[in-house]
Amino acid sequence: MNATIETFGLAKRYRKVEALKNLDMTVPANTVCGFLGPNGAGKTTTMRILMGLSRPTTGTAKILGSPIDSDGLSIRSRVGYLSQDPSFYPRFRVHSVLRFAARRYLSGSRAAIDVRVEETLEQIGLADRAGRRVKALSGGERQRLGIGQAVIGRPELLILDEPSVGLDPEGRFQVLSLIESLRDQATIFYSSHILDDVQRIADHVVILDRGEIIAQGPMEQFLGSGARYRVVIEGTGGSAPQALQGLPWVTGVEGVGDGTWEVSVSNQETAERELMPVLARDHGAAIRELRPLVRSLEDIYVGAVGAGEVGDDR
Amino acid sequence: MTAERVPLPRIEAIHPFRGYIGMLGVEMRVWFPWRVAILVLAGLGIFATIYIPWQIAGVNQLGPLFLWSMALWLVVVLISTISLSEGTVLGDIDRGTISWLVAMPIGRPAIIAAKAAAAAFGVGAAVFITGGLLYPLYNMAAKRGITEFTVDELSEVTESPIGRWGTYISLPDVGTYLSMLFAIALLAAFLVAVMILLGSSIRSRTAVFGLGLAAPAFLIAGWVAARDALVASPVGLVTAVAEGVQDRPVEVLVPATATVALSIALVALAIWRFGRRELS
Amino acid sequence: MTDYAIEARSLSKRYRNVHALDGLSLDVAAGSICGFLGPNGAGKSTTMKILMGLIRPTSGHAFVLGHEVGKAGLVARARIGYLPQDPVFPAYLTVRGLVTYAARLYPGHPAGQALRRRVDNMLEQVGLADKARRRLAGLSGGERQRVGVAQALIADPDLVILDEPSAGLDPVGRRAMIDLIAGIGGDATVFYSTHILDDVERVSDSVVMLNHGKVVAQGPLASVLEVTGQDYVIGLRGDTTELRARLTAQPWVSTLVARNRGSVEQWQVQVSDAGIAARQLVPMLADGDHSVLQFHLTDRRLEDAYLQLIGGTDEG
Repeated sequence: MNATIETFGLAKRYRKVEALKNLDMTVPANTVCGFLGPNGAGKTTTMRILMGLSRPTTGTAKILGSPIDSDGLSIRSRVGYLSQDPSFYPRFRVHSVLRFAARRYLSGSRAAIDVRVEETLEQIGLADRAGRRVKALSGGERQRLGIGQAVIGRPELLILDEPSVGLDPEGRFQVLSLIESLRDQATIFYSSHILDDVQRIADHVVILDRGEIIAQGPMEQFLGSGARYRVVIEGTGGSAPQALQGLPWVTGVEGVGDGTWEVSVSNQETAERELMPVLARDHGAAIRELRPLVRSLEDIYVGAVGAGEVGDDR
Repeated sequence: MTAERVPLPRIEAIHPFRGYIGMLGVEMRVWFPWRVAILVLAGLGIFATIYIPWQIAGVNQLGPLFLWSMALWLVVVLISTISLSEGTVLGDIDRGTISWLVAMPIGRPAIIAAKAAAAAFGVGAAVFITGGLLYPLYNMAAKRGITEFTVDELSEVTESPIGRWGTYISLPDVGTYLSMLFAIALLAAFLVAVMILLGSSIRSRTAVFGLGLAAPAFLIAGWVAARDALVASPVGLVTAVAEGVQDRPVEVLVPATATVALSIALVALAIWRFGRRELS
Repeated sequence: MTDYAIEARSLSKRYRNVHALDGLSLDVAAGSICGFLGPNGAGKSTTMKILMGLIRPTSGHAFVLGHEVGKAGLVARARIGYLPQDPVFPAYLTVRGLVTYAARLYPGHPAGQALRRRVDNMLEQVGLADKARRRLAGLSGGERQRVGVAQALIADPDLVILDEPSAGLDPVGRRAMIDLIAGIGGDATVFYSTHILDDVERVSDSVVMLNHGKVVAQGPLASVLEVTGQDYVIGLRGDTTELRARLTAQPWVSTLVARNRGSVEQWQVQVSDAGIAARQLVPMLADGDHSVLQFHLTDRRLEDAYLQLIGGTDEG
């Protein structure tokens, strides 16, 4: 398997505090990977180490196949980074920041670079604020500028530290849409506290707590989809769908309301193939809903990390 | 529109000073014009310190003031340089822009080297601009006959040791003056190197500023106490300025070379320290 | 008395040329939990500050707990707890010190032992009992937020106004905050603003949406959700090209948006005729080489309603 990020026993110690303990993390290529964990878990520390801003106490990591301690510069020419609460030279204008960033990664004439800058301005929705100085930007605009400078160099990997924090719902929607649009072009490794969003767009999940990985894997694995389905059929009265009875791969049919059943299956593959045709034969157009029951990532997260007090941030 | 266009190629050269030119551009934008303007204004302000008393006090009292104004200008340049450069590295660290730069494919050495070069060039330019503006102004004052007088008159006006130097004080010629400016500019560049090293090693800006002030203090002390022994060092540059003010031959080559070498060594050390620094 | 904990009638607030609020009218029923939503700069904080008597409206009236803000506001504020955005408390006070001080500001507060017990109770509730003696300067962001909530609730208010209480909290902290809000509701009215719409869905009875200083939508959560249309969500695995071609050729199919998640294709199909779609979609799906993993109408989400309502009132 191709991994974009691999860490081997990565650890970071600040005086007496162990911020990271023996991290073995793998982020597969071409995925959108959600990096979750409470405040203070070590997510930002991990990202800083990957970007060469900080050095690990022990352990190593590889990004795009190259070790970070020896190939840092070459790696950073292929990686885009957005830090938490990004800052730029206050008196610079938006297009200057982007132009400067573009020149770090891409070679070309001034005109060609400007075209790339225009493209990026469109992508991040700041085309009409291009002449504004950084200090005149709102928090959301600064965040989008941060994303702009991260993507302008056409990176193969994007590391985004809480890209949607502090943004209003529209801003968050724009950031998420942007992330989704980049899905095919880069591996995206981002941290977020909005788990419902992560559930919707991420393929892979890593959960960190107190410096240790407590869970990592494909989203499907986390959500445990495929074992149970909810089926809603109109007009069947109280009796369970005949079609489902006696099928070897159906282990249970439980009524949970008017026309609604929860069907447990033993063979996910067969269920995927057969469930709809089987139901359609008998009930056809009366089928209103067929949906795999998945757990909510937030429930899983809270369960893994532990319920806390109001405002808990460890 | 986008489908047919070939995307720009990635830059392939990867070396520790990658991004130096780009950083230099950024740093020059930051240094010019504000800091240069401040230094120039400081210099012109010094000139005002002789012009105004001259208007009030009368011709003969002004003799030593040219000396004082140059000495004052030197000190002001040095302290202003310290004050304006204490934030060169730490300002970016405080603001968080350093992390932005380092996370890009810019070598850490390039960042420090560019900051040092831009700041040194900035102060150097400011010194020459100010010096250039002041020369005709001093000449104007000299034509009014205020800068030639005897040792005795000097001792009357002030009881400082200056009275024991030379027979008279006059405005240096252009060559000497330029050498003095060169010496002052190099001293300022040396201080920039000191500040860059301090900024790369220490966290507190006030500590950097305070320690930075020690540098000119050491220079002045060295000049007062051991100027002959310390010719091949920045102290030698202070000597050069002092000699030039008295219209004596100015020996700039040896101290200049030594200072440049020392400054480069300090910047190299700063690069090493910054390379190991943890950045948030 | 009144059924409404908060009433605003044509509130306006002008700063030079900027209309922070522009004819805002809203109602919050007593005992309900009401989510106050809107983009940054819409005027949410301004509204809350007017309700708390911190700033005066340029025109219009507002009533809290039946009393007019401004004239009789002081009487009402004895029964209101408020947490501003980015609260700043005197750094030298301890946690207990601040909460006690806040309690004392309310008329009719208990004294001595009773006060101490009430404060301890509150600190327990927000999980700061072990940090009671810590100075505020030494607290983390989340802990300061907790202190803020404690001082807002300490006088057992009838109305609680919280300005972005979940900002900066991680999911666990947010959940605990939601639980706290849910616990207060019913006895007291909670009027809070937030950007995390999923939390609002979990705990609110009603919502008020603000944009450009005006109310864009308000009402029970369920009715606001109905604003969104519903498309079909279809999850498929396998060879779907033929099916896709057939579907898009249907006259009752308006749009089909496909997304790939690994080997799963997820389609969102917008239909022009719900009746026909309901009848014909399933038979079409059941027929073919592919597997159908899911088939249902899109869930009505507050975020979609929000984007639709707010987006609709943006001037571009």
